[in-house]
Amino acid sequence: ETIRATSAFGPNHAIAKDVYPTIFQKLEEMTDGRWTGQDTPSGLVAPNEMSTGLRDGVTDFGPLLMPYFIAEYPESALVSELSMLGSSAQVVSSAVTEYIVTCEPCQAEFSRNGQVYLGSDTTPLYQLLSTKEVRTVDDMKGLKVRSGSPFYAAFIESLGGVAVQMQSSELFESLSQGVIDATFSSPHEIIANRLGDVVKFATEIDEGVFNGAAVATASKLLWDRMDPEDRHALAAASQYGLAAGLAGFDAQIKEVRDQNLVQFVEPDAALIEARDAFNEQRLAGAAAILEERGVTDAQTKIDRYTALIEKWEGLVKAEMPAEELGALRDKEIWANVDFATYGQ
Amino acid sequence: MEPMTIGILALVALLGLIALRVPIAAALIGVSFLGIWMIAGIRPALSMLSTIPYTTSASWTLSSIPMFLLMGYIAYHSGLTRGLFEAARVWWGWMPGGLAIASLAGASGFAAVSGSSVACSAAIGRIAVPEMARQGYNLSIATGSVAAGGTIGALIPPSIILILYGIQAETSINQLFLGGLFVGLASLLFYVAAVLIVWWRNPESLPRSTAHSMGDRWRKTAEIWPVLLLIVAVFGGLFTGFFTATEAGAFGSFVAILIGLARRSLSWEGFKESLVDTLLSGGALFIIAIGANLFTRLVAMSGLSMQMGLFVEGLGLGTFALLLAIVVIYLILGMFLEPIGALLLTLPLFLPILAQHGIDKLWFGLLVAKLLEIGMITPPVGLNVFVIHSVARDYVRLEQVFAGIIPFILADLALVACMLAIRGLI
Amino acid sequence: MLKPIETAIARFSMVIGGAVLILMMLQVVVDVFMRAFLGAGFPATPDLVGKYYMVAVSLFPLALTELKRRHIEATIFTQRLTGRSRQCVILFGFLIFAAVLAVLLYGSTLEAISKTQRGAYIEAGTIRFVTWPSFWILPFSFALALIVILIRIYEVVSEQFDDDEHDVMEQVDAIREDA
Ligand code: NA
Ligand code: NA
Repeated sequence: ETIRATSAFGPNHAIAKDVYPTIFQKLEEMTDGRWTGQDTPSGLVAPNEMSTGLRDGVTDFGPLLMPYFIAEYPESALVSELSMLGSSAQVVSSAVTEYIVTCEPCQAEFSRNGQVYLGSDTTPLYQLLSTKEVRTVDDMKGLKVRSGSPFYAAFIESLGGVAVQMQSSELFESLSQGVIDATFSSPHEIIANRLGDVVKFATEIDEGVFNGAAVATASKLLWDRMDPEDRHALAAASQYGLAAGLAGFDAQIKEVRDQNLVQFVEPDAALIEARDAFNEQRLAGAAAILEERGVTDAQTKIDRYTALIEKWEGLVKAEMPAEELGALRDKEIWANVDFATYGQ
Repeated sequence: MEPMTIGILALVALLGLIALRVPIAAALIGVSFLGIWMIAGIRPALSMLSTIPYTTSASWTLSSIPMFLLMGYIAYHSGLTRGLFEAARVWWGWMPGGLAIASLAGASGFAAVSGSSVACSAAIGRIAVPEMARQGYNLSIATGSVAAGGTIGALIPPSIILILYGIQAETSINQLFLGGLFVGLASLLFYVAAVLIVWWRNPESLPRSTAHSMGDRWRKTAEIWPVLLLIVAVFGGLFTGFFTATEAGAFGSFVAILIGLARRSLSWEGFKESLVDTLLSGGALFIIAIGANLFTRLVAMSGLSMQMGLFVEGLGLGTFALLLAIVVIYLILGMFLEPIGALLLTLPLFLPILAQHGIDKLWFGLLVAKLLEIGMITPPVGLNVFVIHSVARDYVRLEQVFAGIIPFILADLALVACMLAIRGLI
Repeated sequence: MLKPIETAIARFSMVIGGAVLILMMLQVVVDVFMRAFLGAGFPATPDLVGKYYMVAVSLFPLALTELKRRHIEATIFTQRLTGRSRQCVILFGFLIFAAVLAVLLYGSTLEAISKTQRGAYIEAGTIRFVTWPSFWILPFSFALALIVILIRIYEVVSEQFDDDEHDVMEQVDAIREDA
């Protein structure tokens, strides 16, 4: 049978180019060709329609960006508040995936929406991509920066900058006209979102990641058509695909560096100190923010996630090949899952 | 039934319903709903009808459209635009098709502030069409020229389509913008040529006014400072980064109101009429946009576009024949779909083919943008034509606007042929 | 008998729709000025404009648009029809429109209920921006439009419907005399 997938972010996005092709190739291998997948990268379901699209079987498989539907996933999106933890996308995405797979209230959120969670990817560490050079705390004062989440909005404001809300479709124009001066993003977006023409500098501030994308999410209607063995194959294949996607991001960043598409700027010590102080304070206040959002017993959950980050810091080796990371994720996260009951 | 068959039947049913005078929005939504139901079941069909009206209309970027409509209506009701066209008339009225050419030039100027061609048509249409009617222009040509002129809005930067294409095809947006500027100006030239040919074949459709003395001209020009102020405020704010293209419409409306109040030319009645006219135009337009969006999803689900892509690939054509086939596909899809939907639908099919045939992505992006914009003015679903009809419906029928478009579509096809020829030369 | 209902719906739509347009314009202008002169813009402007004003401006005038007979349709193949066959064509269009609006009303009501139950919101900067009420604009607008179309169907069936297709040439002549 063919899974009707919708990667939704267009044919040149990492999900359409690296993640889903790898998933379906692995799935075919693991199920001896019983299952494969066909992606419609754009035109069928938009990212902000994915939650109902998966629930009602408009598509079988797609990336679910939890910030779009934050009220539906307060527990699963908890990790977004803890964006400052973790040293690489490989570590964070593995920890996030393990956290959500083993978190009962998170599973309930996906069930209620007719979906089955199979794994998250994470962007590389965010840097400040700007049209003028930013090196010091002083440079941040009055700087107009696009922020994609409350975490970055608060960080920008703590440094005396101005956090501007803006849709990604307006980003290019706004940077080139000077409506905003900078955006927080991973440098791979300089290629992926064609920002190279307007962004001139990348201040390597290493502040957090975007970890709210449940890129491998299946419709419950698909899951019900699969037997436990094939379900495990899809879950495992997803880990290889997600790992391939992370490698793809790293390759794009390398290209940005090799081709000198922007000038990388090292922030001064005071800016790094300000970052660390902000992160510490934010982490201390995270439980309160989450409780307010309806998450119960938040501190315990934060501690559990922090422990998972530490666990994966130990497991993930620098320069680990994608194939190896996929296998490791399959073994560590999915080996003990009962696929007769998971996602029910 | 095969999804493909359902897709083709849906196209036929849509044409039939529109011909039977079913409101176009209702035809689009009804056919999409039944088609998706037949392909995927009632649950996905109902799901899409429940979510897509919201996701289509709940858009900050699209907010520029009602705001530019409002700006146009206020400028009209406070008499700002009459002066502008009086001035255009005394300067260029003696020229064949002078006012049509002036509105095409005006649309190109607006194109530099607006990223969408509907917003551009909306802004110019309300201003230009009544003035052309006053001078006795054939209303088909008058409305057709403005509807066509609006398509320049998405070619001359800023352009939402070109940004989307740049991201999807990994092409420099700045270079696309530069190319878009050329294609936009070339479109302007071709449209002007179309106006002149229409006049040459039938001089009575575009009557000339008497020549005016230079003194007359300057006197009229001195009277148009309010509208110049409006233009300076909108353009100035945009180019200095004071506001974005999305915000320009709201700001322009605000400035138009201030000018109208300062000159005591905007009455309470005129203001109320502007608001109601904006609501009516927006109400007619957005529900069609929602229908066109739903129809795009049906085409995606039926695999119709994918089959077209595979079919073209399977023919094993040479590069030139392949490009011709792609042009035909875009012209057909453009008849029914709105441009952004059509772009999202087709890029996954054509990008790989481009790479195989070594077709330059920058050039192809400009070609696609041009072809998609042609779709804005072709029947049966032509959003630019609808917006012009909506602002001028007291004195023109929809069919007349579509009839007026014909010379401009021919001009567009000539330009597309030139673009194909230029590629051959490189 | 039904005229008062039509008038009431038209008045109501104009007042609410007009107010939203003015609010939308003012808020964007205030946001632009605040961003330029105070640093930060008016909080959540794109979200308020996108999720509330735009939904209202796009869908709320549906009923008014029909009352003023401004929905776009192609008359080219049917304009020569008269009498009974003309009424049939018009009735057919209204029936399809009514069916479509009924499905839209049903679907959007379910969606609005679901969003309300979850208390849907988005995060705009550092503030939490509630979006679930905006989903109710849809069923409300579709219901209003459906009422108007049902009145139209009644009018056609009871032969009270006056298409009021004005002669466009008269309008053109008027505008030309004005010149
Ligand atoms: Na433009
Ligand atoms: Na068309």
